[in-house]
Amino acid sequence: MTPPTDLPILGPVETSVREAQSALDDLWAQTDVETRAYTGNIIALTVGGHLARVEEALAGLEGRYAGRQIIGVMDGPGGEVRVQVSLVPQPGGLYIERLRLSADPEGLQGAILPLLRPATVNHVWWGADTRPGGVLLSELTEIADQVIADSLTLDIPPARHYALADLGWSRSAGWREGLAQLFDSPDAARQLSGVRGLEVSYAGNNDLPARLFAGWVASTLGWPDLGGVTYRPGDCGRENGDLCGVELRGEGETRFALVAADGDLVRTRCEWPGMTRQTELNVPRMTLAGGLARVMARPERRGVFERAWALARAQLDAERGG
Amino acid sequence: MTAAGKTQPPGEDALGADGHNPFRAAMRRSRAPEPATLVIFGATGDLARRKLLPAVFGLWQDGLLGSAFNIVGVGRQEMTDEGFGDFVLEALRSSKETDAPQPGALEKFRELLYYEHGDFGGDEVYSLVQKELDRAQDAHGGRKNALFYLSTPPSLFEPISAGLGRLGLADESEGWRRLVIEKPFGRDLGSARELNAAIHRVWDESQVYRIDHYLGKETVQNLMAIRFGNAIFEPLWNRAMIDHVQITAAEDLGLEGRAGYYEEAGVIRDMLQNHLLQLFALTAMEPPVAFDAGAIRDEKVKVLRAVRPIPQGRVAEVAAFGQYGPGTLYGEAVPGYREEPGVREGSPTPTHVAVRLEVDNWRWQGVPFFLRTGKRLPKKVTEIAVVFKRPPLGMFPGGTERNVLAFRIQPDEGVSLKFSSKSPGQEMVLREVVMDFRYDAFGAQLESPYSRLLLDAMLGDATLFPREDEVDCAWQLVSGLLERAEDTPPQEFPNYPAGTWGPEAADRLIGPDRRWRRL
Repeated sequence: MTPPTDLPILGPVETSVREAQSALDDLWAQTDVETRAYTGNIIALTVGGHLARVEEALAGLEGRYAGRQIIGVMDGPGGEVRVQVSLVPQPGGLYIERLRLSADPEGLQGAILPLLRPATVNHVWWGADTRPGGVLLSELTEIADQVIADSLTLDIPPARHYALADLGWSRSAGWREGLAQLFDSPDAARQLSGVRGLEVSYAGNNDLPARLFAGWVASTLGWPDLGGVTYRPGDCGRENGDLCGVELRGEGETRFALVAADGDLVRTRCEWPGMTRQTELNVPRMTLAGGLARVMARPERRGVFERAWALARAQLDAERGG
Repeated sequence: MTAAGKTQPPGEDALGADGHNPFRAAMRRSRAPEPATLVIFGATGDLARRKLLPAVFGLWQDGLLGSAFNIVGVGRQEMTDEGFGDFVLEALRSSKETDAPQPGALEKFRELLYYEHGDFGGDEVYSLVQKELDRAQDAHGGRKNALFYLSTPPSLFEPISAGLGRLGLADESEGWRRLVIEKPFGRDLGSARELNAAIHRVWDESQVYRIDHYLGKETVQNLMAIRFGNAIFEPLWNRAMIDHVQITAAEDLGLEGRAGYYEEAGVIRDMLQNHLLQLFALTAMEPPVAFDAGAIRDEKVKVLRAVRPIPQGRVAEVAAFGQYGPGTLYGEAVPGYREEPGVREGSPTPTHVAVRLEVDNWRWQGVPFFLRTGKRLPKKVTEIAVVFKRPPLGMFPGGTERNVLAFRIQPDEGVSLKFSSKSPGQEMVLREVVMDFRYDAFGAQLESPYSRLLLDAMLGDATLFPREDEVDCAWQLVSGLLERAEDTPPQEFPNYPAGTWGPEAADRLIGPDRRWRRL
């Protein structure tokens, strides 16, 4: 998460697709900054109703992930594309480039592609709750290195030519780390062969991050499906979709539990014959910008998410079918 | 199907049966420390207060130290756990290196802190440390893993190491035990060997972590990333393409109240034997077979061994010493070394050294490495510059220039490549331009080198810690320089004004067709 900076935003300046680079260069000339972070492009596709939230998240995203942010507002007017460019300040006197484009999807397609900073990494973020489709997304996924979306709701499957990422998956990263910490002790790890079931509780009414979390546990432990998993709504003061607790259960007394307490604190309890162990650890809540930064840093191997996704998807399909 | 009917991947033993954590395998951190206690000897000292404790707090707050971790401060000063907690929180609040604390984090961190005191020459203090390890095991479970960090004057390394040994605290049957020591690792070859021998009477080399904080710097690690993570540099990295290499570590500071230490150490022990020779080794070593402690340290030792020895008789030919006199820096008058408080009258201690290393191996035969470091130079800058040969033929008007690939270690961390390009205009005139990558383009604050090294020591990864034989080789290389500087100190000291780039002898050393980089 980017700490605050006193520098003002430069812009926005109304321009056109053809003149956008020139308008950005004019803004750069006002900055006394020589360093431009050509670290990548993030193309955020959204609708007017979500624009403020998307822009807020992108404002907290450090330039190391993407030096150019292109926001495509898909429910803009037809006809000519409206283009606004600005430089968003970062700590240390650096800026990232932001281009906001409003048009219909077809208009956006012709506008976004020429504005991509070439030869860098492209992240495409589907920041809308409508099911994506059409030529715009297919063109962008062609050039994407990573597609970030609510993958279970929107049914965007993993593909060979881009990495699929999910902000719900990001949200449970602290819980994955917390669970892993319980088994950094070799004596605890030796109990894993007896683990048979998992219960995940979640805040609010969004259980999709919990399903991805369960998919990760199951795929790591070699479970063929999520039949041994139960989900339970919880009330722990965390944001909708965050987890409230996790419990792995084994034979007899064996159990490993993480339960959300005050603030970021999580209490852990490990029990197996002859052993009771309790600790506390921090499982920080993650902002939208923090979640974006995390998936763009691509900390985990692609296959790890895809295996978790496949198990979660299969369970959802089975539930819908049943 | 339920999980009760789970299947194991074919050919694998029962999950976790070997104590290996399967959840770790694909995590952001594929390794994490096991539950452990960090025991800091000299916990109320300057280094602990300014660097070490902020680094530990940052790691803990980022969740990198695991769920079961605590700190035992050990000192000669009598203090309660409560008093130590107050000291640590005050240190964290006053250090510029402390990460911004999350609400309530400082008080939570305080709960991890314990303190024991006693005479490091006796047994009692070590038995108290043993009790702290027992207490940690009772509280958190797991094994009695412990990292003993000696943040003390070097004279205490041996007594503390021996004391820990007497009480069985180096024994790893109940958990891993590691010893971290700070430079200087001895004050010459003989004392370094004595120190190593004393430590090895108690500890196996695999348990010893010698801290050279330069190796914890992001940009030093980036040197390896750029050399071995790209295909375009390694083919150029040899005597066919490179004319020479310059390694500079310039300090603008004077003594800053450390005259007692510096009068004993001088620039050779303070900078050359450790930091500069480490930078040299990373620049000149062969590609390691793997990015791990054994492979990298093997290559560093090999290239240090390949450096042509510098006995006293060769010193005048390959080295130049300097000591600063009065001068001006940043527009202000500053005193000479001999006028600094605490410096002996007529002190012969060198504050600047430039040295030419010749590497007798196939890759580097005939390619000199020029190393220079000094105090009260015009600015603080550390850089490694690989200077390439001139083009074989000058096709264009004007002379030919050398390409330079420069790694800036600090400040303005980054990498630049200097090359010639046509100037706009009707004539075919070339001028030098610089293609520059600045590390701050990532927009991220660099972590303290101490936090990286501390975490690695907790993880048991010794890649960034000099091994015994590296330290020994480095002392062998500088022994002649030390003897010469101490037996027959230069008569012309001081020989460079503060605020300049060092003595003229250093310019002569680099030779007629070369010059030191203007930094």
